[in-house]
Order: sequence, then structure tokens, then C-alpha cells
Amino acid sequence: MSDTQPSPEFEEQVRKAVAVPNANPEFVNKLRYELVRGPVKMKSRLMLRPAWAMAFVLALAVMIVSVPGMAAAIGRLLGYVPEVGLVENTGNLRMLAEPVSVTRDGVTVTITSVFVYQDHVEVIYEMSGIAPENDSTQAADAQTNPKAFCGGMEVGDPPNTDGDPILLLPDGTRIVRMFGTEYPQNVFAMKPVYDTSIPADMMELKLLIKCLQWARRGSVPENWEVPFKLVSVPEGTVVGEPVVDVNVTSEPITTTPDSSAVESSSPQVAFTLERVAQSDAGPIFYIRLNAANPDPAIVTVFPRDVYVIDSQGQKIQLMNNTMYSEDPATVWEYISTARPADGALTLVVADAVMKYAPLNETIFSFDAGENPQHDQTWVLNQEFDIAGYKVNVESVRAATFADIEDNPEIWDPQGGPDYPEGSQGFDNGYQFSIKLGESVSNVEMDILSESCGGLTDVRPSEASPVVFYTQLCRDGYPKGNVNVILRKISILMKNVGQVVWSPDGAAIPAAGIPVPTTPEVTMTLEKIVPLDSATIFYLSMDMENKDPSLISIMPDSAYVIDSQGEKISLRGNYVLQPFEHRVGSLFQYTSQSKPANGPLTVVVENAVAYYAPLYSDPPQATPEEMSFTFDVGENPQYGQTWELDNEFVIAGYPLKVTSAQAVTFEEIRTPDFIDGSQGYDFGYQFAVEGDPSVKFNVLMDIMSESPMCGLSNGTRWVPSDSKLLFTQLCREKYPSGLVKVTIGELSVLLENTWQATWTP
Amino acid sequence: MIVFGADRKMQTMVKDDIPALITAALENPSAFDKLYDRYVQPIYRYVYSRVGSAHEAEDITSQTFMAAYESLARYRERGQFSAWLFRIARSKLNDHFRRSRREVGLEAAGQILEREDALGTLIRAEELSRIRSIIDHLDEEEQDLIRLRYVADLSFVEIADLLGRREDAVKKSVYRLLARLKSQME
Repeated sequence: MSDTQPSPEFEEQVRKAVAVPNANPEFVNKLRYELVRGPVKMKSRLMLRPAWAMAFVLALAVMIVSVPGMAAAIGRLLGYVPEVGLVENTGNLRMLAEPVSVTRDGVTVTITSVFVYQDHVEVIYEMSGIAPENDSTQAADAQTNPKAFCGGMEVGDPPNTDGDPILLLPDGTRIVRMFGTEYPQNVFAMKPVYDTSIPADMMELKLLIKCLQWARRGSVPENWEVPFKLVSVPEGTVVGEPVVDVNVTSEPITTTPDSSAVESSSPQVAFTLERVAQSDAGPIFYIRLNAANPDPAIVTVFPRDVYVIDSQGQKIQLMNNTMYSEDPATVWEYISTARPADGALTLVVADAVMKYAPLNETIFSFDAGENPQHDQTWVLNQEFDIAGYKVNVESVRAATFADIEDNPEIWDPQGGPDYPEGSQGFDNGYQFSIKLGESVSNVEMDILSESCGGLTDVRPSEASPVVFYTQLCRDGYPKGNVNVILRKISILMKNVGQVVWSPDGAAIPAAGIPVPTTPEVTMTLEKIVPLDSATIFYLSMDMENKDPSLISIMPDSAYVIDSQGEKISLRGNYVLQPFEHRVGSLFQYTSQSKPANGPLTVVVENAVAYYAPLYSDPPQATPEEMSFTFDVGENPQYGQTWELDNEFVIAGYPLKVTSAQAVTFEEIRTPDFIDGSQGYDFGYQFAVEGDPSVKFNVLMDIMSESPMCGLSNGTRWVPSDSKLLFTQLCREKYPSGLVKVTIGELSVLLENTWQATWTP
Repeated sequence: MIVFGADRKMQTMVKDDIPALITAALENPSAFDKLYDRYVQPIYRYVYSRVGSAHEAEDITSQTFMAAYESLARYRERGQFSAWLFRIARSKLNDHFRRSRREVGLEAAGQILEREDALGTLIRAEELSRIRSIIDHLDEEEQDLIRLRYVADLSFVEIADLLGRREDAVKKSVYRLLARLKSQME
């Protein structure tokens, strides 16, 4: 065989032979908006088609309602416009009269939103109709030839502003986009902000675009002029959805937040619900965190876990829509990830993080000597007290890159290298063993040496709450007296507080979280298709008060009873794949024979509810929350067992992984494995306990890239008095060292019978 | 650290933009869409070539980016971002196949395109068909190399990072594979 580089022609042949289509643009747009905005309904109005965008702007025009009474009551004349955010009408506000589109050679530019404030102008526009090969986000040569596209540049080139639209005023003035950081949306080329005031009598402007951002130069029409008109928004009107000022401060969820155990006068954190806006997708909350006893050492406090519980007991996670800031006065915008039920909502800030910086420089040192050696350890026992929170640097050890190159805290679905590019010269340094005091979740430290700081690693130790904090340096270990500065500590504040808010405007601090009621599952017979030889049934299943991590409810078995009393089996015409059959979707069943004429009763016996917190939309847990690790050492042996004690709660169902055992394919071999082990011969079998009254199953993944793991087997619906055993096998050998396992799915058997009768 | 803010103009993306985009996305989740735009098609094509169905490919692509979005804070600015993203996609594919136990060969994926690209290309259909057939008989790891290089259009560095191998070793493997394909064609 030859290592000779193949000819470009042959490579092209191979490329064509294996070519597959690109993703549908509609799907791409939809997913983009789900990712960056959450499932806010406006996304479909703005992005998918120009016609929809037009409908949106027209709807916006309708939403400008003259409500002086309401405005007076609200006081601030704030409105919420999807995609735009809060719009404050303090007078002299102008906005786009109607959406404007210009089409040339099949390419359309549409201005969907313009707001002219007293001191700046915000524009939103979009483009459509650009062929994929002319769109640098899709074109094959975008990476190799970036300058072929509008705005493209090579590394080191000066900024290329050709794709930036310019505002042309009637008097000929040209205004370029501002480049400050005041308006975060301005980082998007399609949402330019102009730092200017526009004379009040100028109501007709133009947007000039030299070339469409990311479009291939010379292949897509250039030098665009898109004229648009403005209308004045009368004083006393609210643009968009009304925003209600609330200004209610939360009550603690429990009387003693975690931090209260600290001896000092550490501040309790509360939040203030400042205002609420209503959108089609649900309310948008504006909250500000504040410490009851502000401490000058506090750098910032920001929310980490915020959700609402609606009147049906459903928990809906809220998503932060505000750029991170260390300004303690930041008002955080949280948007709903699903539409809550009508009625009062309990807004809960479950976790927040407070960062402290020592008021005085906190430097400690140790004498590493002139020739520090790997693994050499110095006992330090340096205790620091920052605003009452304790941190003890117990010891320091001379460490190398090899000591940290695999970090279980860095999530990697396949367990690949956490520092794939290697040490980059940061090969030697020091690993500090730090005991974190109550509520302290993290520290930030630096070795005071110019050669250090390029590679920092934090990981838990087996002796929690001790963490290992490693900082590596270039040019060997720092020698002699090594100085280290403790810069910041992070405090995790749990159960910050909650407020009950009602759409009628009432908001009160709340002291208790409503408990979700027991789910009730329903089956609906949706359609029937009588054929000559059989009958096709379409049915769906749903659950009241369902947990947001619920993916699917799939019938276990089904049959139909015809008018003659004959029981006829139904065969499911679908793949047993929960992700393909989300809650509420249709299941197609075909009867084994033709039922007699007359009423038909469809019966479903048992169903399975599938919960996948990591893969629900939106996810209800982070991978680390659904993972555990155990150390099998460097040479795990068949039959070796490790006692574990890892607890999880999925959709209210408790799970406890109690042990892991090294097994082989022989342990799980059944005739079902028609292909044998396929090389997956070694792995681990986990014992999992759950609520004894629940028959459940789990899917787990050993996160290992080498060896690769994949073949799985689990006991199904274990009896209530025994443990569930789940096995996953890997290729060639047992994964060694610290093994990370993630729980991907919990399925629960719903033992019940549902029936629906259809009468012709 | 480069901060992707308003001072830094949005440009057609070159690879060196990626760290800045990651920084921007960490500071403002909305900025994740630029990373998404850069990678959605390669991820989709790669997934499609494995599952052979637009519907399933969309589902797995969605899961991949949802997971990446959620886990971005855990991504370290080291190595290739694309490798990290593709690792997530491969994990999602593993989940998928564990449930459905069905995977299409590259031959099937190619035929799908052939139907959709009815106008054809300058290269004769028989020739493409032969290449597909040979590729379909490669082992899974070799097929995956072909997918990563010619469907997802990853560079050798990116593939090496993804597979935990050296760049030159990956390049050699691909070139040897192509040489073998060519010899079988002759």
C-alpha cells in the first residue's frame, strides 16, 4: 500500500460518493432559536419565513395600545417585544411603520424591527434565499477561502466592515454601527445598534448594505438599499406586551440557608422580583439579587438555578437571558422554557453564587527549595477567613501535567483526553490540597510567577470537602520561596427564596413550595381507519402534572374488543424508541384480523413512562448531576466489586447505585444477542435500588473512549424486593482508573388498564 | 483571552475565531448561535450518514447541540472544539443505536443523495456506485474515517483530536484507505 497523497480528483470522487444532503434550513433556523432563545413562540414569527416575520411586525403594530390609565399605574411605560426585549417609551419613541422587504435575484432582505430612541437606534433585519454554496456558514470553501465571502478575513487582517449596514438619513448623513459593549445584541450583524440621535422630523430612512454578511462576494446581489418608514409612538402607550412592575422581595424557602451555619455575620441573600412581562410562551421575570447585609468583600452575586412552579404543580426551568456581569445591581432576565398553566406561579431562586474577594491581599508562601522534586509535599495548614468563610490550604505537592491530564470534572461523553493539546509547555507546578469550609464551592488562586498560570485545574478529592487545585508553570518548578495569592472564593447559596406571582398582578412572598400531585395517565383514541382485512387505530397517551423530564409514554400491549366480544390483538407499527414518540404523539396499531362491525373498545394494558432529564427539552439536569465516578484502579479484575453509594432523583423517583462489579459478556449472554459480544467483552454491572413500590429500569453509560463501551443489558421491571442490575460492556478491556458513569434514562412501568370505545 | 464583543467585528468565521466565539457564548448564551452556525451542517451530515434518515438526523443533531449548549461551561479552551462537539454527536448516536440497533452504511447514505440529486454530476453514476460499494465493505472504523473526512469535512487535526490519535497517523490512515479504494477500482 502506498502512503502517497491521493489526487484531488479522486478525493472529489470519494466526497461525491458519500455525499449526503445538508440539513433543511427551516430545521436549522428552528434549532438555532431553540438553543439561544429557549422555546419562545416568537421564534416562528421572526425567523422562518419573511411572511411570518411580516405577520409578526403587523401584530406588533396592533399591540401598540393606548393605555394611559395602565401606563400611569405601571409608571414606567415598559413593554416587552420578543426578539427585542424591553422597550421603554419615555417619549419621542419611533418605530418601524411596517416591515419592509427588498428582493433581488431571489435574495430577500427584510427589516423586521426598528426602534429609534432619543440616543440610539436599534435595527433587526434578516436575509433569505441565499443558496447554500454562497452562504459561508454552509459553503465547502468557507474555511479555506474566507475572503470569498462578505466580511471574511484571514487571521491578522484588519476588521472587515463590508457586511455592516449603514443608516442613511434624508439629509445624506451616513451612520455606522456602534462598537461599544452597551448593547449585547449588537454583536450580531443582523441586530446593529447605532449610537446616535435622529432628528425628530426624519421619518424616512434607508439601510445601505454593501454586501450581505457571510454571502459569497460576486455571486449574491450587492449594494442594497432598503428604505423604511418610521411612525411615532404616542406618549402614554406601551409597545409590545405590557410589563408589570412588581418589586416584591422574596422570603427564604427555609429559615436557614446553608450559609447560616457560618459563624460570621454572612449576609443572607434574597431576590426582588422587579417586574414581569407576559409573552405567548409564558412570563418573563426580571429579578435582582441582594444581600441583606452587604459586605464590602462581596464581588458579585448571581442566580444559578431559577424555576417556577405553576398552578398544576409543574416545575418549569427558567433560562437566563442576561449577559454575565459582576455588577451587583444587575437585573437578570429569566424566560420560561415552557408555557406554565394558568394561575399563580411560584418563582423560586433555588441556588445562587456569591463571590468574595479578600479585602486585603491574602498571600501565603512556602519554601520549595532549590531543587523541588515531583511528589515532594509541603504541609502548610494555612487557614484563611474571608467574610466568615473558611478555607484551609492543607498542603502542597509538586505536580506535573501527567497528574492532571485526566479530570473527572471535565465532562466528555466519551472520556477522551481533557487536555487534548497536551501541556503546551506548562509541565510543572504545584497542587494544593484545600479544605473548603461550609458553603464554599470554589476558590481562585495564582502562583505569583510570570511563568505560571497557563494551566489551572480544580477537581474534587475523595475526602470531600477537600479539593485539589493545581497550577502549572513553564520552565520547571518555581523554586525557593513560592508566593501564592488567594484571589476569590465562591459561596453556594441554596434555597435563596421564592415569590408567588399571579397574572392579575398580585405578588406575595411565599414560604412553601406546592407539592406536585400524583401523575394521572390518560389514553386517547384519536383516529380509526377501517380496511378490508384489518382496522388501524391511532392512539396517544399523556400524563397530567407530568415532570418536564418525561420524554414519552409508550403502551406496553394493546388489543381491541369488537361488538361480538372477540378480543383481537393489536400490533404496534412503530419502533420502540421513546425519543421518536414524544408525549402526546400518535401510536399506530393494526388489528391482527378484521373486527366485527359495530362498537370497538380499544384497551391498553400497562404503559412505560420514559424520563430523560439530560435529553428533555429543555434539559432538566446537567451531565454532572446525572453522573457518578468510582475508582477501579489500574488493573481491575473479573469479579471485583466496588461498594457505591450514589443517589439520584429523577422525576421524583429516587435511585441509588449501590455497587459495581467487573463482569464479562458471559454474565449477560442470552439468545437475544444474535451477534454475540461483537468484541464488547468486559465491563461493569451496576446494582441499582429504587422505590420498592415502583417497577423501573435505567439506562446508564460508562463514559469511556478507550476502551469504547456500548453493549448494554438491564433486568426489566425488577420485583420490588430485589435490585435492578444494569450492565454495560466495553471493547478489549475493562476501563481503568476513575470510571465515570452517566444515567441517561429512567423508565417506569405504569401498571394500569386504559380503554376507549368507538361507536360507528 | 480574546473577548468577542462589539469591538471585534463579526466576520466570516475562520478557525481562529472559535475561542472568541466560545468566550462570547459563555458570557452571553445568545452568542452560541455563531458556534452553532459553524458546525450544524457538518454535524448533521455526519449524523445523517450514520442514520440515513433526515428525521432521525435532525433529532440527534438537536440533542447534540442541546447537550453542547448545556455543557459549554465545561468545555476547556484546549484542543479542537469540533472534536468535542463530534464526541457528543457520537455519544448521541451510540444512544440512538443502542435503542434502534440499526445503522446504515455509507452506500445507503450515498444512494439517498443520488435520488435527491437527480441531475447527476460529471462523474458517472456507475463509478460512484462502485466507490460506495467498496466503502460499504470497509470496517466500521474505516468508514468512520471516511465520514469524518469527506462527509463532515473535518481537518486531519480535528479528526486526530476526536479520535485521540496523532495527526500524521490519521492522515496516513486516510491516504492508505484511499489508495486501497483506488486500487480496488482499477
